[in-house]
Parts: sequence; C-alpha cells; structure tokens
Amino acid sequence: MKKYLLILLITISAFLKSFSQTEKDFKAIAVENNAQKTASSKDIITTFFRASIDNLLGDDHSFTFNSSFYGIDSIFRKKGSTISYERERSLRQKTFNIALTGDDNHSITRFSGGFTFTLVNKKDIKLKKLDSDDLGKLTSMSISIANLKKGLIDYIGEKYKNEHIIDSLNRILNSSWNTAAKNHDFSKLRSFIYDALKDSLLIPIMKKADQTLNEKGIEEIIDGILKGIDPFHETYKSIAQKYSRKPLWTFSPTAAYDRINKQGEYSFVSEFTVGLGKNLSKKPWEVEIKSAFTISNDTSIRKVNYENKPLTLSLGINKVWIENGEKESKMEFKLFTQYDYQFGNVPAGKDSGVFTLNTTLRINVFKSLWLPITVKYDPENGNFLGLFAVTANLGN
Amino acid sequence: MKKITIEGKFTGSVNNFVVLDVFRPNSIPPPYDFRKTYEESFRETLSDLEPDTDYNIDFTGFTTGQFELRISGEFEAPNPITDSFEDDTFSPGFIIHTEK
Repeated sequence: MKKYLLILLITISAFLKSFSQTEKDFKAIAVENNAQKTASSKDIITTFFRASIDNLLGDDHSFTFNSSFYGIDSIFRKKGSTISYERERSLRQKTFNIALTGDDNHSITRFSGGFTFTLVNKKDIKLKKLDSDDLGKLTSMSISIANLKKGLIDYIGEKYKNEHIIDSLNRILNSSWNTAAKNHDFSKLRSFIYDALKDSLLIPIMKKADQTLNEKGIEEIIDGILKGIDPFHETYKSIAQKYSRKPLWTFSPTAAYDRINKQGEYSFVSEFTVGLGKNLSKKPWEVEIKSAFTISNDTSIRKVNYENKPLTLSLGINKVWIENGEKESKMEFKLFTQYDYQFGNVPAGKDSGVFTLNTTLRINVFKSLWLPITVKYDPENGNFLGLFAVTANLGN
Repeated sequence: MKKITIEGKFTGSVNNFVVLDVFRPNSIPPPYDFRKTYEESFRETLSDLEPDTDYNIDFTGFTTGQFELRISGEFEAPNPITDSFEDDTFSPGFIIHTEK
C-alpha cells in the first residue's frame, strides 16, 4: 500500500506542476513572504496544493490531497487574466481536502472530504493589504529610487558635456543598475556610478530638478548602495518577514466514510499559529494551538454507533532550526504537549484522559518535499509512538 | 512625432505600486519629462516623442504578486521590450531610440 501511495503522491505532484497554467504563480508564491513561512504553518493551510502520506510506519496509511480553491481556479483560468481582490481573497481563504486510507492488504478502508476555512490570516501579503505605514515606506522608497536614477543620469549629463559620451554612459549605467537590482547586489556597480553616488554635487543636481526631494531618504539609499546592498529589497524583505510571523487561524470540518464499519465519521479541527519575537534576524519561533473533536465508531461494538468521541487539545512551539541564504526554512523542530479526552466509551482499565509529550522534526529533503517525523511519548504509561509522513507543498 | 505604448500589468490585487518615468537627461535637448504613478494595471500611450532620439524609460516599484511590463511602438529593436518581476521590488530602466 505504501508503494502505491508514494507513486500517487509523486504522480499528483507531477500532474499539477505540468498542467497548471500558473507555473509563474508557483514561483511568485515562493519568493518572499511565503518562502519565509514555516513548513508547519504551510501544513495548516495551503496556498495552492498539498499532498501528503501519513503514518508510513503504521498499519493504516492515508493519502491526503489539499487544494485551495484559488489553486483549482488558477488551473482553469484563462492565461494572463486577472481577478478582483474580493474574488482572490475569497478563493484563497478556503481549501478542500480529500483523503484515502488504506491497509496493508491494498484495500481502501476509509475515504473522507472536508474544507478548511480561514478565520484569520494576516500572514499572506498576497492577500492582506499592507499596513499604511509599510505601504507608505515602500511607496516613498520607490519615488526616492526613481529620483536617484534620474539624478544619476542628470549628474552624468552635467559632468560629461559631450553628448556621445553621455549616451553611452547612460546605457552602461542602465545595464549596470538593472543587473545589480535584479541580483539585489550593488557591490559590482560600474565605478563611475560609485563616483557619482559619493559626489556631494549629486543631491544639489537632483534638487534642481525637484525641490520636494526627500533628501534624507535619498542619502539613506545611497549609503546602502555604497555598502553593496539593495536597500529597497532589504526593506521589502523585512516587511514580508514581519507579516510571515502574524497570526493564522483556521477551522476545518471533515466528513468521512468508514468502509469497514459502513458508517460515517465527522471531525472538527481548529488550528492557530503565530510567530514570536520581533527580531527578524533570528530564526522564527511559532506558538501553535490545535483542537480537534471527532465523532466516530467504537470498534468494540459490532454495529453502527458513534460512541468514539475523542477531543484533542495541543499546545506547542515550533522552531526553525536551519534556513538557507534566502531565509527559507529547511529544518524545523516542534515540541508540543497534547491532551486527549474520550467523551464516548472508555475501554475498561483505560483512562478517559491521556496526556502526551510530542516532538515533530520536519526535514526538507528536496524542493517542496518534506519529511515530518513525529514521536509521541505517554509519560504515564511510558509508551513511545512514532509517526512518519511525507508531505509535498506545491506552490508554497 | 513618434508614438509608443507602455503597459504594466499587476496580477495581484493588492500591494502594487510603480513609478513610470520617461525622460531625457536634462543637459541634452530636447528635454522630456513624463512621470506618473500607478497602483494597478495601466496602459499609457505617448505620441509626442521626437524621431531618431534616445529616451529613458524607468519603472520603479514593488508588488506582492507579479508585475509584467511591455513597451511597444515606433522605436528601433529590440521591440517590443518585455520584462516581469515577482513578489519583490523592481527598478529596471530601458533606453529606446525612436525611429527616424
């Protein structure tokens, strides 16, 4: 069964990648804000598609496919067409999931379907309007950078009176600037541009063209460029990072059909996560709270019944351990406590409430493919339980 | 006079901004200075450009989605000029030389 589920996961991943008309969207999603979200928060709600195989080491393995309605819409939407903010917001706020559970005899024992509704999502800046301060900062920098570029060209015009030289320097300046801005690396600008940036005559020349010039803003940008950094991109990055630590809260109702016992099952899950700390240079910490209530079959009773009613509450901390140079999470560790309480039938000799300590290690093995390994420990009974899964978050 | 069309397309619906500058260096006649800012997709036609003349066209801004630009009209190759940027800041500049 494991083999088939793995093949299914890979096939669906390949299908969605190759058939989606929004290959650029996949890349777009991945760049700043989403790249800095943790894998743990991406498991709560997907931007496009998510496929996973859970409980690989256990007897019952399940394959789950999640998609946002935005992901599905983007496949069928006419290439290049745009949608309104309201529609995009509505499509991104909801995801659906379908899951199949099978046993080692290659039979499907259970299938389910459900939705995830976003109650609060302040993380996704593709969806959430930036605060006016952040928007103002980026708008003001845009104007200052535009002024600086014009100023550099005017400076060259003033310094080199020969038109032929001005034209060729203008082209070199453009090319050098474009390369630097695209790579976010201004350390390799042509030397005559550095000379212009260092020259105290540059700002007076710019002021001649624009009396309302934001002199302080321009000076800060020049300082950054002379250090080789892209101050515009750095500002954007720090704003995106700030939003990636904001809260996300979801609610997910799911209905399932148990083929063995020939009856329905219902579950209601709510998850909340928020980043901790304001120091964006440090790897993020996240608090996660989850509650789940399920109504399902008590297998000790040989007829249709709904006497298995577990409630699960968990509280944990997720920490990014390893990031790459672009601040994308590559390894995460989650420590969480969980309390399970049985509202239905409790087997003789068992407690109705069980408290466990758990850890999940998420390792990014390749591109969007993650291996989450969960270890549960029941301190009262001294039991260990290991859960091993494979997850692919596409377009995240 | 020569005509060019400048198009900018934002695919995301929020957090978009671009400054469009079309200009010539102050010291070189004839002077030209066009600036406009946009927070959503736009199409701008300029039909007062001198023939056989260089013009700088700069786009400076940011988007949390995608920004695609296209410059077309009466200028020498490469024509049209296209470029795109995703979830980031951008400040590309292009120089076009209008047809004779």
